[in-house]
Amino acid sequence: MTIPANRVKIFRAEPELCTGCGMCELLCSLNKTGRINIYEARLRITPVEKTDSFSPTICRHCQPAPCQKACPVPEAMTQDPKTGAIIINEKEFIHCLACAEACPFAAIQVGPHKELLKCDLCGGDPTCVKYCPPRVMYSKDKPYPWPQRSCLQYVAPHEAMATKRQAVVENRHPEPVEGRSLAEEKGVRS
Amino acid sequence: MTGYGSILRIDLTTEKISTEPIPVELCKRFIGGAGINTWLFWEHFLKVDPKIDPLSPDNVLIAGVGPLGATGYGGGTKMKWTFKSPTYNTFGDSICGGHFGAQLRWAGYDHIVITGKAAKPVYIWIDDDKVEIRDASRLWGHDVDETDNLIKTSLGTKELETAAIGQAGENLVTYASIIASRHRVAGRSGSGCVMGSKNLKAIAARGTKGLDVSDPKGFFAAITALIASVNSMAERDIIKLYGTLRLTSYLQRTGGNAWRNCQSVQVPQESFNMISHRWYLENIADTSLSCSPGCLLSCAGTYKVKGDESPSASKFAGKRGYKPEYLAMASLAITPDIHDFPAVGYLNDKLRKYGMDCAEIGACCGLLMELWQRGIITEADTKEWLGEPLSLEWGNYESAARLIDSIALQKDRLGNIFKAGVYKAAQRLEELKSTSILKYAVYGKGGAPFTEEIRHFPSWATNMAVSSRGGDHLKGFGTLDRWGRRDIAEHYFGNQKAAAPLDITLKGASSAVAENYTPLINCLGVCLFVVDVDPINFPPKNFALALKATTGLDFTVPELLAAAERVANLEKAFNTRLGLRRQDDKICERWMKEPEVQGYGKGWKAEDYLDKLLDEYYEYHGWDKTTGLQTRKKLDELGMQDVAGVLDREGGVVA
Repeated sequence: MTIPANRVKIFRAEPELCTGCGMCELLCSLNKTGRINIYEARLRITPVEKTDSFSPTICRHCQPAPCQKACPVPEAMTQDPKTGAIIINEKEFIHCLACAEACPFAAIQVGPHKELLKCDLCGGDPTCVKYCPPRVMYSKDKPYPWPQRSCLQYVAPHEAMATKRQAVVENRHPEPVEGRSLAEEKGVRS
Repeated sequence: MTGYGSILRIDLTTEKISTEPIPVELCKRFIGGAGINTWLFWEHFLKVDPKIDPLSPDNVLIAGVGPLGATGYGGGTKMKWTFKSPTYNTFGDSICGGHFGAQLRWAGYDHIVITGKAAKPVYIWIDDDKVEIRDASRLWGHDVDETDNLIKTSLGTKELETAAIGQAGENLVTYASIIASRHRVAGRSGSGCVMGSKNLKAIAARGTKGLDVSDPKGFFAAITALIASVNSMAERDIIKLYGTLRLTSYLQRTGGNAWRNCQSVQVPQESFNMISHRWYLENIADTSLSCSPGCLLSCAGTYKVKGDESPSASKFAGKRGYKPEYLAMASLAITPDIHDFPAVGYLNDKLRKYGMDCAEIGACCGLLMELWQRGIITEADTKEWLGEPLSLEWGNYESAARLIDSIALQKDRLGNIFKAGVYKAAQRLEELKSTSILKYAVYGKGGAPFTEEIRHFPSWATNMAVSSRGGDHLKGFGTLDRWGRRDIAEHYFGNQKAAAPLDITLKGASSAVAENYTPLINCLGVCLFVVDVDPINFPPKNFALALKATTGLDFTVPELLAAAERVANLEKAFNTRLGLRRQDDKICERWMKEPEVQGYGKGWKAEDYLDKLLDEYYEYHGWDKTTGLQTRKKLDELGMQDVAGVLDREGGVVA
């Protein structure tokens, strides 16, 4: 199994680095709608009460995409050849919400004006990633300056996996952070 | 108007609810946030006698967020609460972070004005356009966490934020606080007491309407400019990791830690190692959080105790809590000499749940423990007050916890003595013990100041003496002598000596400059830390850019600074109407007369320089230095003829 050729970069989040500042939600909505409203953002930050932390819910632009597979209209959901993003085609769109139902991560939501909120990777330069404030990766043994990393990343697949490996080495995952439970409610396991 | 919400007025006596837009002239005059809050407060007290009891139904509680709050500008979201303070009986206000202010702004309201008093306990539910006053008899008697949970359960949604009071506010402890979003505290001045006196348990808000932005493209440009500012800051990583907690070690070196109620300026090294920011990060730090939406620095966080880190840790094994700010460390660790982080966190969490100001508790605790050390208070006294003996030696965190319980729940005499703060408690103890006690108390203008050593920081001593709310450091957040910022000194005065430590050159003037500048940040609704201490890295032209993009209003830098100066003058004018004059601008006897005994600022006492600096401070403000009153000339210059007129009728302004 290989990663498709058009999957140049992947959009991912490291929940343990999220501080819940909401810059991504606020600025995503501003970029997409010209208004600041977290309910119109194309991604969500959900508080996890048990651990006093936050967990981002983002569209992973899966390939093959369950949302695209569930869509009854052939041309309504297409893939951007440049970024590999799954994009909704406004002209063909019939508001059946089959895609939102099918998403295992509950990343497709309906906004306050009954519009479908679906990430399109901003054409290859995601606003949320650009303004996600980097966190300082403090280490007792390393000298200053400590490395910095943002919670939201838009990177090549092998880079993403390298940071993941590094996280395991640094033992930054003592407890798994709970994701959004909606996917579980639907009986879908990610 | 784009970028601004409306003013929501709620009268709890008549249950009348109304909204009105904010007039453009008011926005131009006071920007928003703290500025418009103070104006609404001033307007209220034109109709009501300013000398009323702060606990009377005629007092007003105003909450407001500025135009850059809740926008993702990068400075966070700070909410200002303005009211007549029950702690100091003067002007009172208090700021908090949290998501509550943002929800309110997203619901379309920038300011809430609450007047009157409900007949029975109530809470206010704001759901976009729907505003309800609901019964809160089931919530009364519960702490802040339980109240938040009960409101969320009864309204059937978790997508809301609350600002609530705990038992301390209900029992009218004069320094009770309002807690927003469970863990962000509007601490000073007794906001929670005013809320409790109105029988108002909580305000819950949910906003789904969002905010209009005048020029999204320009707004992104403003954020980019702010990020560049943040990145050029030398201390960026340190602030991100530690927040204000980093000050423990900075002030340890410069002699600012008020150990054992200001008896020494340095914590002994082995005790200090257990409460330093480094110990926290390496042992119990868990998550790092933003206190409010839209913050680039995220200096808040939580900790988790494993159980073997310190002597008291086994008692709190598995407990989670919020990272204490420096003020909490100064009040709960350094002043009472509790050098055990999990225990300090436990006390801090207790105060948060009861909804009480930690600075006042720190001063009370410090006073009690010093009186115990001097043998003025003995076991016989505590037995008489509590019904059981309580030992109050330094570092006894269980006694401190007992004191906090007593005060918040008001069930015994000890709690009653300290109900009105450290100054009144010291006076009462003097009566009870018929010996002089006030000289051991650390207070400023009738309440506890920032629990910190200020004698050899002359600009901070001046700020505490003149502050419009008690003895407070945040009104003029001076950075010159404390941080030694020679670049800022050069920028303001063209004289680097203004930033020289252990020197009084231009320190009075620097207090006045800080006092005129600080309200600007509070008017914008963003965080005071960082942005305020660094006007070189974060120049006002950045804010002008962001304000233009958000609201479409053109502000020049001089206009912004003038608006901020107006706010400082308006606060002063209210206190003048209460009869406060130059003789009221003073700090406690301990700081005035007792020299520091050791360390960096050995031999310094405020008496030596304060009078001289006050002269300089008044002159720099353009006020009269003999009476401390504002001059008509200055008020005219700021376009505040109406305020001068009011003061003139009461003899509160000089030509």
